[in-house]
Amino acid sequence: MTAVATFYTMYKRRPVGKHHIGVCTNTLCALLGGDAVYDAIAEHLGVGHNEPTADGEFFLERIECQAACTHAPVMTVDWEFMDDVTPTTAVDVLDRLERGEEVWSTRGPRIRNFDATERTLAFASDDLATEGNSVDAKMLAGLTVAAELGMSAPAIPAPSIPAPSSPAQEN
Amino acid sequence: MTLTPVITEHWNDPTLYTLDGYRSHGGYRALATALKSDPDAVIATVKDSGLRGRGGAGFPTGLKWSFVPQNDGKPHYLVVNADESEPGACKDIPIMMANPHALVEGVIITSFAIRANHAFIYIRGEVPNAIRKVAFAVEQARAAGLIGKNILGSGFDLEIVVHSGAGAYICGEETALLDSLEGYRGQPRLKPPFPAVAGLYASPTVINNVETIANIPYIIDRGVDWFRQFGTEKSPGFKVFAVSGHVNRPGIYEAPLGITMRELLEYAGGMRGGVDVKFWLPGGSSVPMLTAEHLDIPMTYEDMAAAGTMLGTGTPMVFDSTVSVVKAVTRWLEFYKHESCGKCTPCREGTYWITGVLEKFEHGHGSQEEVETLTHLCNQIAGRSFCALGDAAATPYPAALKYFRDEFDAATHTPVDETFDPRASYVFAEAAAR
Amino acid sequence: MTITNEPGAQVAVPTDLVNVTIDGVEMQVPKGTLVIRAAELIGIEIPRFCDHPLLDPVAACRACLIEVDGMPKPQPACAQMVAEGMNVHTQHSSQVAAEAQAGVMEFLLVNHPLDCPVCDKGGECPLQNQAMSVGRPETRFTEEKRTFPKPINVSAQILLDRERCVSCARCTRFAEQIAGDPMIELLERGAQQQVGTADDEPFDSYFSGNTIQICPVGALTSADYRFRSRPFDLVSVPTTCEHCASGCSLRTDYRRGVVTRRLAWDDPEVNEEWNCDKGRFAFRYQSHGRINAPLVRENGELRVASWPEALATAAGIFEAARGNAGVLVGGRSTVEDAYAYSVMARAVLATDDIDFRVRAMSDEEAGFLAAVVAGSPVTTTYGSLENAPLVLLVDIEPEDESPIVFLRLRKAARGGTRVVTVASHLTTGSEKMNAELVACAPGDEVRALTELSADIRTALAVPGAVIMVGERAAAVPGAFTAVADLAKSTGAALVWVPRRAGERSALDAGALAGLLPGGRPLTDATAREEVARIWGISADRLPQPGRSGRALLENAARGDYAALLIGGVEVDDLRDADLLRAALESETSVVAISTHHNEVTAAADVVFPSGVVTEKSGTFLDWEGRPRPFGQVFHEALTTSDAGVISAIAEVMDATVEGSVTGIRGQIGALGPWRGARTTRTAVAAQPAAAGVRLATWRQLLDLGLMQSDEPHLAATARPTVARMSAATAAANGITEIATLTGPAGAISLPVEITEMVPDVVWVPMNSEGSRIYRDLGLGFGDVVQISAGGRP
Repeated sequence: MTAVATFYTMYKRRPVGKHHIGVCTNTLCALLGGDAVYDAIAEHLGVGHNEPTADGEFFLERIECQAACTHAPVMTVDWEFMDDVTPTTAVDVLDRLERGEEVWSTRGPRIRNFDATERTLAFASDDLATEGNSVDAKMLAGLTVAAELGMSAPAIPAPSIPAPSSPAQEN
Repeated sequence: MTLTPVITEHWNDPTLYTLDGYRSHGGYRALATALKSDPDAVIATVKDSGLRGRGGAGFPTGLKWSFVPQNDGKPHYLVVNADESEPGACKDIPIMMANPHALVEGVIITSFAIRANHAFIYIRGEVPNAIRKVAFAVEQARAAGLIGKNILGSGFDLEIVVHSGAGAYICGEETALLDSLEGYRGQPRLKPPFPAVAGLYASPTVINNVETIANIPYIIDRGVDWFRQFGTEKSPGFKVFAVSGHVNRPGIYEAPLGITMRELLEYAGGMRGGVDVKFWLPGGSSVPMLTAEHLDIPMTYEDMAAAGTMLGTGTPMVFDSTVSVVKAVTRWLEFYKHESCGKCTPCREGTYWITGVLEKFEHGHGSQEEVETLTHLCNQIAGRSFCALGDAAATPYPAALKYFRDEFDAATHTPVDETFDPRASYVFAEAAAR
Repeated sequence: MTITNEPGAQVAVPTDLVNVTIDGVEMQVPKGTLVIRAAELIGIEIPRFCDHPLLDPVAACRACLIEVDGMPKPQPACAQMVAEGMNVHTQHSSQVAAEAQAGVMEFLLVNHPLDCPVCDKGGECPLQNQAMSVGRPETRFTEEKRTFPKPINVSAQILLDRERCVSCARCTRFAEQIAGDPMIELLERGAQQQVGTADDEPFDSYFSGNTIQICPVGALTSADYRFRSRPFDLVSVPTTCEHCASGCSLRTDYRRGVVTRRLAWDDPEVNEEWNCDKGRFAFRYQSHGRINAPLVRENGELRVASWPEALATAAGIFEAARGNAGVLVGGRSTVEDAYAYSVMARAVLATDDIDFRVRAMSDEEAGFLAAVVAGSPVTTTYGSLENAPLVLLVDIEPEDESPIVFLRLRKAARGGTRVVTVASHLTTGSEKMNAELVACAPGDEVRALTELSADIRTALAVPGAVIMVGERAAAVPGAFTAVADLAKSTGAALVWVPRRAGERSALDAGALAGLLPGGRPLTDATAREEVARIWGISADRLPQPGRSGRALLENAARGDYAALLIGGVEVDDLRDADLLRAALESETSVVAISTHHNEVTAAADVVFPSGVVTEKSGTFLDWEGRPRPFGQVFHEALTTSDAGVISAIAEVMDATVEGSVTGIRGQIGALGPWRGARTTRTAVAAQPAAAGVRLATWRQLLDLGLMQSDEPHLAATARPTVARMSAATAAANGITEIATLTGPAGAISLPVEITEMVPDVVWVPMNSEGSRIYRDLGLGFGDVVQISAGGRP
C-alpha cells in the first residue's frame, strides 16, 4: 500500500485543503508564461510547491504537462482546466474562489472542490458530463480553417462490409 | 496539402459527445458492420489499412492485434492507453472530450476483433473532464445495448471499464500501465513475455492509443481504400495534429500524414509577431528537435525518421527565437527526472545527474568539459535503460547541442535568463520586453 | 546409518541443448539458460547487482549489459535467454558492452556515499569490487549527492542505509518471492526510490537476515554486526546450523576467538543460499553462561575440580551403576556424541535405558522411529519436496519448526506443488505455502487422516507425493500409526521432521532403547554381532532391551537407578518435567555433560563442560537423514565434545569408548548400512477425544529457547504472544480481548486473536514470553484446557 501510494503524485498523504491549484511548469507552458503564472500565484498565496495555505483554502503544486499545450499556459483548479491563463487572470480565479463566487472551468464544469474531484477520480465518473463546454475555439481551429478554405476529407464511400476471411487468406 | 477533418469533423456540434449526437453523424454504423463480419476479417481490414499506432512508436496496429493467440482459452483484454502525458502531446484528451463515442465505438470493434470481452480505458487522473466524458459515453452506449451482453444481437459480450490514473508519466509505457491497472506501482515489466501473450492479469492483451482506436470506426465504415487515400504508403491515413507554441492560432488541425510543418504553420496563422521559428519538435519532448530548415519535410513516420527525429505523437511544439534552448532542455530533463520510475540505473541516476549539470548551465555555471560530459551521459542512457523513458530523457540534449552549441557555450558564463529575457517568450500582454 | 548414504535421486540430464557462442567460445547449454549463467560456465564474469540466481530476473540495474549479434541495443545478460546460434559479446570482446557496463557503474556511484571505510560491506562489497574492475578512477560527478537520514530500522534487527542502496530490489524480491513476507518494498520513485516498510509494520520476517547477505552494497546491515569488524579481519569456517533439523550450511566468521557473525552458505541441495534469522543471529549463547571446568559435588556444593578428579569421580559412580544406569542424551547431539552415549550405555554401563527425546514423546513414537526412520537411507529430500505433486503436513508447522523446509515447500508451491496441512487452522506460514487445510482439532489426527478426502488420497498415490509428520504427533495416540498406515496404503513417501538438530542424529546413532546404530534392532543377533565386533566386546555383553521415554523417567523418578548420565537436557523441555525433577532430587547419582549451567547440572554430582558447535567438529543428520558434517571453529577451545568426555570416563573405567570424531566416523563407516530386518511397529489405536476446549501449540521459531538467549535484537522480531481461537469459541466462552487459560500447573492470560480455526480449540505458543505452557499450565498439545474471559497478560 505504501509502495503504491508513494509512487503516484496524485495520492496526497497530507491534507490538501479546499482547492488544489496546479500550474504547469513543464517546458512549453513555462516558457509561454507558466513560470510567471506560478510565481504570481505563489506570491499571492504565500506558499510554495506542494504547500497548503494556512487557511486550508488552497494547495499549490507545480504540475507536469496536462495535455493542453495548445492552451498554454495552463492552470488547473481541482484538476479542471483553466486554459490560457495570465498572472492576472490566474490570481483573479483564486480571488473569486476565495470569495465563494461561481467559477467555471474553461473546458469543463463548474469548479467544485478538491474532494469532489477526488471522488470523480475514484469512481472514474460523475454526473457532470453535460455541464459546461468541453470544446473551444482552439480545438476547432483546424475545422474552422478548413471551413474557411473549403477543405474536407474525401467523400465517404458507400458502406463496405469486410468479407469474412477464408482459410486461404490466412498466414 | 489540405486539411482533412475526420475524427474532428463534427466537433462543432455541441451534442457530438452524446450518443444521439454521434449517431446523427453516422456513429456506430461501423460497429454494426463489424459485428456482421467476423473478427479475423476486421483484423485483416485494419492490417490492410496500414494504420500505425498514434501513441508515438507507430507500430502497425493490425499486426499488433494479430499477435494475440486465438482460441487459447484465456480471457483477452483490450487496454486503451489514454495516459496522454508526453510534454507537447495534447490530442487524445481533446478527442476524448469532444468525440468520446469514436473511442468507445473503436473499443467495441477492436475488442470484437481480438476476441476480448473486457476492455479498459486507462485515462490519466489529472484530466477528470476527459474521464467523465468517456465514462458518460460508455454509460450511454451500455444503456443503448452497445456494451454488455449480446451486442446488437451478435452474441458478442463486452464490458468496458474506465480507470483513472494517479499521476505518473511512466504509466504511458504499456507494461507499466498494466502494472498500474492491476494496482501496483507503475514500473515497466520485463519483456518477454509481451503483452500480446501475457499482459493484463497474465492474459493476452492489446494496448492501443486513444487516437489509434478512434480511427477504427472510420476505417471499418469507409474502407481501406478510402483510408489509404490519405498519407503515404508507409504512413497511410490522417492524423490529429495539435500545434502548440509560438504560433498565432495554436490548436487541433487534422490533416493527412505527409503534410509539412510549414503547411501546418500556415494553417495555424503563422508565427506569433512574425518571429522566426527557432526549433520545433514533431511529436512530444521525447523526439529530437528540428529547426526552421526542416519545415518542408513531410510529417510521416518514415520522413521524420530520415530527418533524425520521429513523428512521435504528431503534436508539434513550435518555439520562436525568444526561447533559450538551454532552458527548454533543462526543464524537460527536470520532467524526466521527476517521472523516472526508479527501476533502472541509467534512467534513475542519469536523469538525476544530467538535470543537475543542466541546472548549472541554466545559471551560467556550465563548463566546456561538461558540454562533453552531458553527451557521454546521454549516450550512457540511450539504448541502455529498461524502457523508452530513459531513451526519451537522453534525447533533448544531443539534439539541442547539434543545432545550438553556441547557447551551451554561452551558458558556461552567462545565465540564460540574461541572454534570453523570459518575458519575451510569454504569450500574454506582459511580454512587453519582446 | 545414513552416513553411508545411498544415492537415491537421479541426476537430470538436459536434453534440450542450444549452441551459443560467448566471446568466441562455442558451447552448448540447456535451452532457457540465461546468458549470464552460460557465461559463468566458461569463467566469464559479467558484472551484476540485481541478478541473483534464485530470484526472478528483473534486469533493473543494467550492469550486465552485453552485445548480442543481431540485436540493436545492448541486452541485459541476466534476463536474456540463450537461443540457438546466438553470438554473445561480453565486455571482453565488445566495446559497446564494456562502455555500457562502465556507464552503468558510473551512474551507480553518482549517489553512492564514499563511506566505504566505515561500511560493514567494505572489503566484501560487490559494488566496491566491480567499481574497481569496471569503474572510472575519478568521478566526473560534482553535483550534490542525494542524501537520506541514515540509517533507519526496518526491523529491530535490520538497519537500512538508503544512501548506499542501488535499488537492485534483491531484498524486496527475496521478501516477496522467497520468504513470502513482502513487508519491505520499494517506495517513492525515480531518484527518491527507496526501500522501506509501511508505518508501524516492521520487516519482522523469520528470514530477514538473508537480505543483508544478498544486498550487493552496504545498504542493509544488522544491529548485531554493525561496526563490529572488517570482513578481511575475519576467519571463516564452513559450519552447519545447530538450531534445527533443516541442516543449513553456514559460514561462521570469527575474530580473536569470538564469533562475529554467521552467514548462510551455498548448498543447492539443502538450504540453497538461505537460512533463517535464528540460525543467522542466535549464537551468543555459545559464549555466555558457559561451564568452563569440571565440577564435583562436595559437602552438597559443586566446586571446580581437575579433570582427573572429576573423571575419577564419575568413573566411580558408573562402576557402581553397571547394569542399573539410565542415559538421557538430549536432542542437540551430533551423531558422534550420541554414538558415544550409545556405546557408553550398552558397552560400559551395560544398560539399554537410553533416550534422546526431551519433549512430548510416546512408546508409539519410539516404535515408529525404530521401524520406519532409524538408519533409513536418504530418499526423500528437499529436491523431492520441490518436485512433489502433493505434500501432506501432519502436526508440523514448517515455518516455525523447520524454516528451510518451509522455504522449499513455498518454492514448491509456487511451482505447482499442492500443500495440504492437517492442523487446527491455516497459519500465515500455511498461507505462504498456499496450503489447503484439513481442519483437525489436536488429538483428532487419526480421524482426520482416516477420513481424508478421496481427492487427497488419490493425489497421495501419485509417485513423488510426500507425507511429513512432526514431533507433536507423539502427543496424539495413534497418530504415528495412522500416518504410517496412510503412507503404506497410498504409496506416498513418509518423512519424520523433528525440530531439533540432534534428534535424527541420536536416533541413527542408536541412542534409543532397543536400537543399535544404523537402525539395528538390539534384539537381532546379527546386528548384535556386527556392533559388538566394532565395539570390541562380545555380543553377549550387550544388554537386553531396556526402557525409554516415560518408563525411563518413571524409573528415574522412583530413584531406582544407581546413576544417570545426562547430556544437554533442559528439564522444562520435558512434558514430564516433574519426573526428571524427582530423579534429580533422589539419591541417584547424576553425571552431567553440559555446555551451560541448568537445572540438571545444579543437581548433578559431577559436571563436565561440553563444547558447543564451534568448539568441536561433528555431524548432524538433517530431517532428510543427510549428513551435515561441520568443522571445528576454535581449535584452542578448553572444552571437548561429549564423546571426548565419555571416552575419558570410560578410559578410567578400563573400558574403551571411541571419543574422536574420526574414530567414530570410522566405526560407523565400518558398520555400514543395516540390511537386515527392522523392528516392526505396533499399531496403536486412537483414543476417544476428551470433551472440552483443547490446546493446540508449538514452539515458534523465535521464542525463549535457550540457544536464543542474549539476542535482544533477534528477540524483538519475534511474533507477539497471542491466544488464537475461533470467533465461535470466543463467543461461547464470553471472551473478547483477553483470555485466561488454566491447567493443573497454573494459568496464563493472553491477548486474543480471533482466527478462522476449528471450534473448541485454543492455540498458544509453547515457549514464548508469557506462554510457557508445560511449566505455566502443566499441559501439552491436545490436552483439555480451561478457558475464560479476562485476566491480565
